[in-house]
Amino acid sequence: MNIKKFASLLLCGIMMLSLFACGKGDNPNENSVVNNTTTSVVQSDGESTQVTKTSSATEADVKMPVDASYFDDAAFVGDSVSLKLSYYAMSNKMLGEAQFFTAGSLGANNALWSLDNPESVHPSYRGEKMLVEDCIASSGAKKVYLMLGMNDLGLYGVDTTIESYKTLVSNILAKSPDVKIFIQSMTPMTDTSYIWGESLNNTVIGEYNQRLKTLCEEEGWGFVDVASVMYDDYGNLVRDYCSDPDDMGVHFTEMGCDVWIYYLYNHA
Amino acid sequence: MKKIIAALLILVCFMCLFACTDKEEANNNTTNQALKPADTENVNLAEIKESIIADCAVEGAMDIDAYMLLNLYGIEEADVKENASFTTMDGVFPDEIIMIKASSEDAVERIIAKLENRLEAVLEQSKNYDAENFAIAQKCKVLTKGDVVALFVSAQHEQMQEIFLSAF
Repeated sequence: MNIKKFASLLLCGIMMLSLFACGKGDNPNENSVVNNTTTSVVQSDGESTQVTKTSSATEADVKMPVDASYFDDAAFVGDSVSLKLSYYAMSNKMLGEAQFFTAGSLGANNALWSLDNPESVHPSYRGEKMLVEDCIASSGAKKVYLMLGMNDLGLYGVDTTIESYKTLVSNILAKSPDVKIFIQSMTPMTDTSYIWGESLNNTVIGEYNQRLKTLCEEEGWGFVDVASVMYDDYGNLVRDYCSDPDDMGVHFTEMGCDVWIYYLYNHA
Repeated sequence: MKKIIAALLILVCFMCLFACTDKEEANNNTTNQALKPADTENVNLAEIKESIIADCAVEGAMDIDAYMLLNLYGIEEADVKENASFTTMDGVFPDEIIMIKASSEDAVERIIAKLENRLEAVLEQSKNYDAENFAIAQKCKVLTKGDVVALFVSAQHEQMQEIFLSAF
């Protein structure tokens, strides 16, 4: 073999080795956690405030969508914001055979009051008024989705409400130890809501939701960030999703309920 | 003689007047009518429902089926012979139009109790939350006509009640 042929073979060998060496590579970003924190400026009474929306997603969080039947063994606990969801979903069977324990003016704080308290408000299980934890125990639900806060933040603030929420879930788990807990983030308000105030606005709601997310991480509960798909470009509730945009500005239309339900399907 | 006859006639007229007034008041105030079930046999709840929807210009009516009757009101399917209930949700609280023909006399009593519980819950929840709905709920009541039980929680409850009662 002459030198030229040998050199050519050697070069080919080196090139082929290089090809194999560079052909496969790990994408360092393939399994990374993606945290998207966006800040929007919202206008309220002429003043600018900051609203923080957070979402985090890993590959594990990008779940296969479920359908209505997934919620057959679910229970939903909520206030008047969830009332429309309950009637809409039950009427259209969009959340399967899910049971709803909702009551107007229910909150994480007053859910802890006794049934004998004349000022108390509690949901009902099959027409019988019961404490939230008793409703869930009676229902036999295997997973519970809670959304509370609208009737708490203005009266009690974020700190007290978080503590009450923790107590409420403890009470639920005491009577239903195997139930899976999912806390839904509190949905925002329209910027024309008449209940908008210093202690109840979308900035406070954003802070509350951050605290709920942290609580869920600490306690091992699921956090379902329903609110993340409810914001308009200014950090307020999308008006088309709201049935009373110039009134309380917190309740939902059927369109809003559809968005809510489809979020649940994709983040169960 | 003529004067005596005239006086007697006037007296009879007065007696008739009072008798009729008493009967009308009894009809307006009672929630229970001693109609036999056979009297309601020809009453079609579905037609009453359609009349209410049309005459009261109800939009977005969602049917309340057996599953919802059980979950929301605790009314067992076995107690229901015929159901023409529906809801609408334009406001914070739903309008609840419940019309049920019970399967038995015992079922009538159970359904009445469940609907009265429901009305109590609406009053409790709206008392400090929605003054308008609270005011409406205070005027609502559970109605019974034989084996048919009804509840109309709506701003148009009077008109709906009238349509319902006119079917009997």
